[in-house]
Amino acid sequence: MEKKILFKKVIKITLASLILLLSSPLLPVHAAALTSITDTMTRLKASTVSNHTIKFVQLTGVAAGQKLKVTFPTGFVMGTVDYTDVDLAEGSTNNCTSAVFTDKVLAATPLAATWGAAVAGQVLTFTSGTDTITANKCVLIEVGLNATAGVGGDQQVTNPVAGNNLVMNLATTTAGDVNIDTGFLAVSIIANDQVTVSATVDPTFTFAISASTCALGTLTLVTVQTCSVTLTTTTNADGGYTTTVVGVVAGADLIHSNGSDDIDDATGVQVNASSEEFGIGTSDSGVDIVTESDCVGADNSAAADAQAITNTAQSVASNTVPVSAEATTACFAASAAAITTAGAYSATTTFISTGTF
Amino acid sequence: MKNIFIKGIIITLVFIYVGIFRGVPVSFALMSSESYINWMDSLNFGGEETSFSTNYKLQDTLGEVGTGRISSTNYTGLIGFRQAEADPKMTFTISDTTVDFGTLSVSSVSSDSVTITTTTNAVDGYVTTIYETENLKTGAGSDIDDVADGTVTAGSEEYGIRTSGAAGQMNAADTSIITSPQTVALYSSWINGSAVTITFKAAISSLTSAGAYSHNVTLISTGRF
Repeated sequence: MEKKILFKKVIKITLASLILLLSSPLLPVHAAALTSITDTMTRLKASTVSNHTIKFVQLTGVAAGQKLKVTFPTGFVMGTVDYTDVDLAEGSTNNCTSAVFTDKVLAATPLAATWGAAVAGQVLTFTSGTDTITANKCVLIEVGLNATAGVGGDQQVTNPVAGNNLVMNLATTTAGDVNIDTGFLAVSIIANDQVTVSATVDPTFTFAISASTCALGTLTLVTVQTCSVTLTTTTNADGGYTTTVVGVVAGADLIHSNGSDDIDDATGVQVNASSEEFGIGTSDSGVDIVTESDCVGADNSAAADAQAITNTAQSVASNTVPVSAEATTACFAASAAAITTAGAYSATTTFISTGTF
Repeated sequence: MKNIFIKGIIITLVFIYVGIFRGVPVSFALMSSESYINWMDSLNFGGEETSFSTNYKLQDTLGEVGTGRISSTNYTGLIGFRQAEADPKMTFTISDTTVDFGTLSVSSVSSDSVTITTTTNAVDGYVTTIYETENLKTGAGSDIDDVADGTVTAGSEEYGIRTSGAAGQMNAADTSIITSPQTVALYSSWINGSAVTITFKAAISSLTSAGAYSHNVTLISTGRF
């Protein structure tokens, strides 16, 4: 009989324990975990300012008068971040990647539909006035220069010294600061989050003159004689190059073999038949020397575009960017008058090509 | 009497066992007040924190059933003491913060690499992005063109990166670096020492301006908790 009573007591205790055990999971949940929590920063370097883009899904929602808190890890310097430097937005869904976010109106303190946003110590607190955030929606918080809604942000949070596993806590709370939904994340602050990439490109320069002689042939009274050389430059000079031409004798470059007579320099920008003139044209444009686009065609014709070669350097070819085998035709032109002294004439001209590095 | 007491205990344990397996969802109610937060509680019968050697540390818990991570489109569950217990962890390292190509040549592709390594217990892993504030360029403003055809080729002025490693996201093509963050590494669960190598590549043509080129790229690793 005594055993039976004891057995009954054990059964009662068992049943009571069972009821407690099975009913406890059905009690209301006081807090739920935030999910999909991220804080994407613009810099991870120690002691460096950074923007923060914080996202998370809250399960319970935020009712009127309730709060949303972000507690930055110890060491982060909040500086003078205020409500103008933060944004709060509610996503259209609980997918923080694809949700469309609608910004809340913020002020220093809550008023009606305007949320209050304030920093105290390490805690950034958003306080609802009458506005709400729907349950199971992604929430976006931006801190720093990325807070562009309303007054654009101009202050950023400064990273602490380097360290791992720096925990940021997030929570939605009641007006009385009792947690509703909570969550956390961790960030890693490192000594240097940047890689400096460097390279060197050595300068290059080549210059070639197609021939070191140029025969004008026999000058007549009815034609302009021409001959040409090709000037070719290759360079990776950032500012390109300039090729100049210069004569060795001032104002009298095509000289008779007697050493005293010469073919007069062209006085304008053309060498004309029956006039005693000598000059040079170029296939390039935008340089000191006049453009003679078809040196071959000028031969045996009555005129060629050319101008005097002086003992002062004049540009005959140029470019402002790196070039590869850029060729320019330098066209010599000469004509004789009836009184031009018979004989052999020659001139020496010098071409100089210079890179602008 | 002793036998009856034992029978009672056995019956209790059976009921507890049945209760655990009957599919009732366990709520991880966070108990908190103004002065404390109890992040989780767990019913188990043992475990310790002290197992370790030079290369590992083991934290074990005994007596839990059905632990691990579960998820669907609308939820993710972390079941068990160890799943819920861990503080969030995030470490990120860059093996070298200098990439020096030296003197570039028209006849070859120059390359150098860094390895980025992330360790995190974030439930959805991590993402690492890269961005630049300006192109690889000289002080005068000449730059090396970004690669646009997927391959940095000798003789062509091209610059870009390629990744390698299981979490690498640019493993298939040489890719330009731009001012907007692009994902170079991604892993969708917690991971210890997820290493991704980023190989920087540059090539020039005969028209590439002479000079000293440089720029900074920023790497940001973010845990997805």
